[in-house]
Amino acid sequence: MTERQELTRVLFVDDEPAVLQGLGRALRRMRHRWQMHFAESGDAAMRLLATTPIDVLVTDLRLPGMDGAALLERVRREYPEVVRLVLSGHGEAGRLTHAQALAHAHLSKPSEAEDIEHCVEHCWLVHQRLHNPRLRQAAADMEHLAPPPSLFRQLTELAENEDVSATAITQLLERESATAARVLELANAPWIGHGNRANDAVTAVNILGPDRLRTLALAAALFSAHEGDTYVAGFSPPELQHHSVQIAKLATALLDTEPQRLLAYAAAMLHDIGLLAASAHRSGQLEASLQCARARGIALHSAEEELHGFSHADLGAFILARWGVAYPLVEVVLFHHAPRLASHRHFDALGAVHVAEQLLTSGPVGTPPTPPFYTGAIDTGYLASVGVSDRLPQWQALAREVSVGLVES
Amino acid sequence: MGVLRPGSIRHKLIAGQVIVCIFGLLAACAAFVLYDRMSYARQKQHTLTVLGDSIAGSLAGAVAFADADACKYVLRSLEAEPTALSGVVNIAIDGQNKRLALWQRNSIALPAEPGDLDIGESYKGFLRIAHPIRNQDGQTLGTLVTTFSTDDVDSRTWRFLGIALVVLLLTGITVVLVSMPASRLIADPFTAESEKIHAQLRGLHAILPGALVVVSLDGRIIDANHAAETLLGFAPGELIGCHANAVSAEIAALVDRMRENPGIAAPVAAKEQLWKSKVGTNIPVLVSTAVTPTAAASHDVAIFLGTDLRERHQAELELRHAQKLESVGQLAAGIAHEINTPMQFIGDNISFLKDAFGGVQTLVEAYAAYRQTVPNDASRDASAALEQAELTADWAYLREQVPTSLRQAIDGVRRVTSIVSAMKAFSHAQPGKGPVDLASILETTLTVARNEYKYVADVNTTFDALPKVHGNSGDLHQLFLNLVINAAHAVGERVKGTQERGVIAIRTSASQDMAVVAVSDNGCGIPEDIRHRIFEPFFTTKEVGKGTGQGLCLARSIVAGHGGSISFESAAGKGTTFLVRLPIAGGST
Repeated sequence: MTERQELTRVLFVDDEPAVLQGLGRALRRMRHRWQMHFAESGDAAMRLLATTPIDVLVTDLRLPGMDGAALLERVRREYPEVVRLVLSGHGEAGRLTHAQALAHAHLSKPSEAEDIEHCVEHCWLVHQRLHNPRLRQAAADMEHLAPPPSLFRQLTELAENEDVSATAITQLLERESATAARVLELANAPWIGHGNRANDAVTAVNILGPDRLRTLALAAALFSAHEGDTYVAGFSPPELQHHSVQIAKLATALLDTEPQRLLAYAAAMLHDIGLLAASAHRSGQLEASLQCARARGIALHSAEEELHGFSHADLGAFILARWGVAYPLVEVVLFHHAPRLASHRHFDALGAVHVAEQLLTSGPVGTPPTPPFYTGAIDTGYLASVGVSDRLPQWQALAREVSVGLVES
Repeated sequence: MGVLRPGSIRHKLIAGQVIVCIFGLLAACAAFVLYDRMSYARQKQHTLTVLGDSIAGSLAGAVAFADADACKYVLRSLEAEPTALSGVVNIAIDGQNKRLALWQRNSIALPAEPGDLDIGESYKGFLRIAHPIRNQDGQTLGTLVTTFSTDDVDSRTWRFLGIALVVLLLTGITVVLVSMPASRLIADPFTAESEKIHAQLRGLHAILPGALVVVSLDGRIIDANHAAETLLGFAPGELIGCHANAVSAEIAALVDRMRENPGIAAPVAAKEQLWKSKVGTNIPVLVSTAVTPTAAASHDVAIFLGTDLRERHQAELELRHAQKLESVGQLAAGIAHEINTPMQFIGDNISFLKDAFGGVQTLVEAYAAYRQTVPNDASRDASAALEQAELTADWAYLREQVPTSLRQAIDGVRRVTSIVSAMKAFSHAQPGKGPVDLASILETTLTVARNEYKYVADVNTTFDALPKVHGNSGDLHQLFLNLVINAAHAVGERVKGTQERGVIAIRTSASQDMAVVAVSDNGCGIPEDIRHRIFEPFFTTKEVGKGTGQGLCLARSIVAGHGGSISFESAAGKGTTFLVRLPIAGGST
């Protein structure tokens, strides 16, 4: 491997040359890690893609000729290995636009060079990690067992065809009334500070926004999608669901901002989706890993990595990515056992889910670890790196309150 | 309604008329009965005289022969006359009257001997007539004295009297019957009917939603309904007698014109005017005018009906405001996008310059270090040139200032970005209410209003951990923006022309199930005499162009719409604190 191949190839698309040049200059410091390309239109971007391998595409949405959404659509079809990011001054938070459903992550304009840098790096890291061949092989075998929740899939399909209208979503919610009821319940959770109370589907769509609605639909529908499946000994879906809900309660309580809370909530509900899928697959891999973990008193994911080269967190993240879930959420699921790997600068949803899971599963000091939920020691290196080590005692107290049901979700 | 009131002149007149009528009728009846009685008695007497005379003629032969039986026989013909009671034939023998024959109706008791009664007189129902009995030679042979009952005359009289009474009675009934509707049809249009209409008008006045003011041509208010008194803040009856000027100069002017130009038409279309309340507030009203002419022009009155327009103005104001906010919001979103694109590359370029200068600084310092190590003789010129170049470029200053300038530029970009996003959040109006975080509302508001206060005041914020309130974020932004701008203006007023700066303090706290936001300033305060008016629409003490007089009015309406309250404490020259109380979400809905 030459050094050149290790550079991340990033393509920026914007119709304003000053923006491209500005990005080029501001991100020049990444020159040892990135190779940057620039295109002033969708067509120029497509021409470049045809001749140059690209890892990450960062595009504006308002482009002359082929617009950003059309470009994302073509890139997804023709170059599915490319990470698709949006950098736009247009995306209104909460709107589920065509482009948002097509992109792995969304940055709003103006974004500081540092934020762009981190977003590209994180997404690329997630993308690379999901390219583990053994993971891909295992996932390909079981993909049919884990279809995306129906409401989530339909919302995504709606958005892929056009910008989603509130009417279309309302009609969809009426058809999917069971999931919709749970979504509505979540929409009124006190930690979602949208400032309005949703008593019906129409209001929920209007005030929550289709994007957040889609995320909640995913979190709300997951366990109902797996009802009726049979599972290996050692855990049951209701137990897993209870475990996920507890983590969601604690993780949201650890965070201050609403977007991070929503992300943590969804990630907590979905963090063990890989376990659910592996269990339903009954390939024997999960049983082997569980036996190994129990025998050696280690965390399940460590045993999985040793035995198969990937953990249920990798598997879950892979499934979510295949469903079209945005990378920030995939990233939390992927790294929730070892947040230091994601090298985040601040304590955010990833850290909250990690801390919540650790605190709720570690049990009283001295008791033996109990797989499958035991996930090893807390990532103290990570806590120190984001500067929140001192908050741990306070969080432990909060965890005790959650585990005895004192904290409302 | 329509009933005569006892004691009225009309009533006395009608009673008199009825009495006169009755007396007249009675007198006429009496005269008629008297006349009838007299004429009938005379006729009867005549008839009886003729009858008696004829019988006397028939008696002549019998009397001549003093044949009593024959006389009796003849006398019996009196029986045919039903009123005949008796007949006595007397003859004069030797100068003395002697009864020759007597006929007497059976079973009739005569009251007295026939001789006891004077001839030709009726007495106690009897009429006695003497008829001379003459022979053919005309020689008087004797006298026939007949006695008749006058009962039929009396009974006829009584019969007539009865008829007269019946007639009188019928007439009386007719008069009463006729007089009843007549009193309505003829007398009421002027009295009872008008009283009835008046009563109806009174009722109408009372229930009219508008303020009714009736002004006579001399400019005095002669009537005003309850709504008018309430609207203008007068006690009941207090307006009556006041000059129209007290309510509206326009009304007074119109009445003046009417007085000077009799017959002038009242304005047809309703017109918006400002009426003055007792305390001097201007109240916008829609005024309809009517003039009631009477026969005597001096009795003209003008009627003014004013509809209170304050609520409508307020609603229009709010609608206009909402529309304005909406269009500003759309504009803001568009502008935000326009600003965001250049902000992206401004930020990127500054960030680049910062990185680049770091590199340049390292480089220049490396040159400088190198210059120190090179022997002076070897390249003195080059070294001197380098030193000179550093001086020319003012490197010492650049090294110190460029990083600061770039850091400040980046701060500036961040600030613009936060202002733009605050502007977007501020103008993004959502319908309906829900849990709202007051601290974030207040922070956005302070970002947006910064320009209003930054030159005159420092802002201190103390935000207690507060549960969310139940509200509409757009409205609450507006509410606090108005209060902050007012505070800034109040401070600006006080520190104008001085070097002083004021303080605007914003404090949040929870009190029971209410969130309390206190916006305090140490500005000029609100003068005592206008404190009661500050929430009125269009009331402003600010100079033209600075205040529209809508801010506090709108603030109050927003607070009321949230089920909260707004109050203030103020000391002139020391400052004002506005206290807004809002219900905490879930506390009460």
